[in-house]
Amino acid sequence: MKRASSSSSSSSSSSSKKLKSEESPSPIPDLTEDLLYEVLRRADERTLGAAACVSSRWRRLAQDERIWESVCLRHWAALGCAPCQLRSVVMALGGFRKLYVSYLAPTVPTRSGRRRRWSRDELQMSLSMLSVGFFGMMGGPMGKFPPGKGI
Amino acid sequence: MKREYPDSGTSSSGGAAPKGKHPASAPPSEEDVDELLAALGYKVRSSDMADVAQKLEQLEMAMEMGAAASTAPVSDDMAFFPETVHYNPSDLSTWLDSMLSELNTPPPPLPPPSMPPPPSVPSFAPAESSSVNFDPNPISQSDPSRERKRMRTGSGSGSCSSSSSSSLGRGGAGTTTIGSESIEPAPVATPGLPVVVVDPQEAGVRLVHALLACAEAVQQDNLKAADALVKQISLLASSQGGAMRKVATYFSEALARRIYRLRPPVGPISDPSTFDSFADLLHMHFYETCPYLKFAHFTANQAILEAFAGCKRVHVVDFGIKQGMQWPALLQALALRPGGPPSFRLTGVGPPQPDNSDALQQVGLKLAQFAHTIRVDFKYRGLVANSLADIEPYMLEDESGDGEPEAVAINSVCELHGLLARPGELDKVYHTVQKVKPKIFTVVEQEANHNSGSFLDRFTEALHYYSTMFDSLEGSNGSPTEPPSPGQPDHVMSELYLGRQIFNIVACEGPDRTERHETLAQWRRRFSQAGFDPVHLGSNAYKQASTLLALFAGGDGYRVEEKDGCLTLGWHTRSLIATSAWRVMAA
Repeated sequence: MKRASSSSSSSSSSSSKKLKSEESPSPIPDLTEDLLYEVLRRADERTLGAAACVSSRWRRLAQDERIWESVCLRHWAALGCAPCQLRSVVMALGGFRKLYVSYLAPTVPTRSGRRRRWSRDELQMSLSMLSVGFFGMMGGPMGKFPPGKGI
Repeated sequence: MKREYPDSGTSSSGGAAPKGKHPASAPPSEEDVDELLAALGYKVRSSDMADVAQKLEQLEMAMEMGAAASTAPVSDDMAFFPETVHYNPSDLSTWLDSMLSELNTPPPPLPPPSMPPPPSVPSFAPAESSSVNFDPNPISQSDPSRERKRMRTGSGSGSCSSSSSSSLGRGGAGTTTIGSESIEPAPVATPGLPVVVVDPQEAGVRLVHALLACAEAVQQDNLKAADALVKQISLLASSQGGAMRKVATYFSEALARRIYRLRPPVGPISDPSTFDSFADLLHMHFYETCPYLKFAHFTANQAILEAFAGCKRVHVVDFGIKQGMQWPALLQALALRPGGPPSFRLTGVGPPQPDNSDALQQVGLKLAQFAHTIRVDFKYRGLVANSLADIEPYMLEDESGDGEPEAVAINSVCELHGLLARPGELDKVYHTVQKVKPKIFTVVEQEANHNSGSFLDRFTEALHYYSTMFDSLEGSNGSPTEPPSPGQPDHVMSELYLGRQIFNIVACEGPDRTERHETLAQWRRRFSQAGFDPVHLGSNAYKQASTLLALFAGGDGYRVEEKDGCLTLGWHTRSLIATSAWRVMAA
């Protein structure tokens, strides 16, 4: 899980939120789930990672597959297939968050100032790797064979 | 890890061969350089040999006198040769000229201190003669007994070159060795002083020499010499580290098996074609730790995907399904096809199982489950066959006989070379493929010629190939996305996977020798003659391969190249595996 400098601000805001809800009505509006979701939907990956560390409620929202789907879809050119088609396949194979974390993120240099967009080929490759990884993890004659090091 | 070593030209005749610090630097510009010296990095024209010999003697004498006549601050013996390393010694002739001209204008002579002359050095004999006289130098601390033993076994001329080079390397003092570490005019005052430490690079070259010499001895049926050399090889191998040591170990083990006729036709270690669970495990590890098989799968899949464009019913025949690792990615790509996936049929071919388990069916079940997960209509048939030549067209037919005809793709990853072990089998397979009329026939093979008639050629080629392979395994070591675990069991498995191939190439003959790799050019010829047209792998396949390498964090040394529509993956400059695609020639 990626931590960013925003984590401290998120946690402080949540802790202050908790305190204030006990004590007095806080000037910071208590975000409902929908609003929180809308905020997180527009966040970048690092913020999402940080947000997931705040509380279990935040974690549940930050790990929502719809959010990660938009993270993955945000950058690439169209694959040519219908979004629902892509969604059903990716969800079946482990989900967008897994796709991002295991296979897309390694393509992006972590220390770059400008976050690089990934290309269609990188996306297709990561989908292939997701398939292979899923297949490897399926029970079968060889048992579980995790994707292992070095992809 | 770069390693340079001579090719088989060295083992032709014995002869004195100077060793130096900078082997193989500049490429030669002249023709007809002496082969032996060229192999060690010195470019000397054969016509110049006598001249060079004379100059070397002159240089020796000049050094003797120069040592006596050196200037005052000469407490450091090495100061006499402050510029030894500045000249490129590989062009021996001009180097000697420059040294001589330099030394012929010495500083004003001082009264010579009493210095005994350097011991007599081996006379530099032209490469053609195999008479090398050397005297066991008091300076050298090497065991002369071993060298004498080497000379005795020098009936095989290959061993002569290794012994002579080593003796000169040890012999140290004198002009025949270039390189400041071995020129020692002064320490002759203390005869017991050890001169040359074993330079690992030197030991590495000797190791290769010994391997080649042993192979040549085996080819000449000189088993005694070969046996002696095998023992030396293991000794030398222990002085090396990393990839070189492992390669040498596997090759020497293979040679030993060949020498002692330990050729079990089947066995978990030596027969790579046994489809037992151990082989599977090795295969899986090899798949995971390096990109060769992934490259093969992804490029072949891309070609198949493109060939299946617009087809509603597709059938893939996999000539070696093993664990079915290639197909999930294709199924996923088909699932994401605009317009939806076709109905997919897979025929997996595999050898019979020693333990009667139905591995083929299990693979099929797993793939079916996968296909079900991503909602692709999937059918599977397993074909058990001892050899691909046993497959008949009717076995691949579409039994359901629905309206729309199937588009067929045939896929073979490293399966065709085994057919070359028995005459006629490859032709039978070609015939069957022609009958089936696939849209595309994707073929992946190792890019090397391990099938030449001469054992020595095969050995040399295999040595080069597997050294590069092991280098790449080593090189991709520290760079995967996670730090490597201590001990790296994955690499051991992959190395064993390759080692079995080495055993087969070196130790087996006849129908047992199934690892008969051939180069892309050779396969191209075969396919053309059999009536196939090449299908160019498009830029998408190339991009996939490049992306794979970029993802594979150890991708620094790997290279994808496109050659006339085929793609190869290699390590640095050496291609190691090639993907090509074919279709039946239009009548």
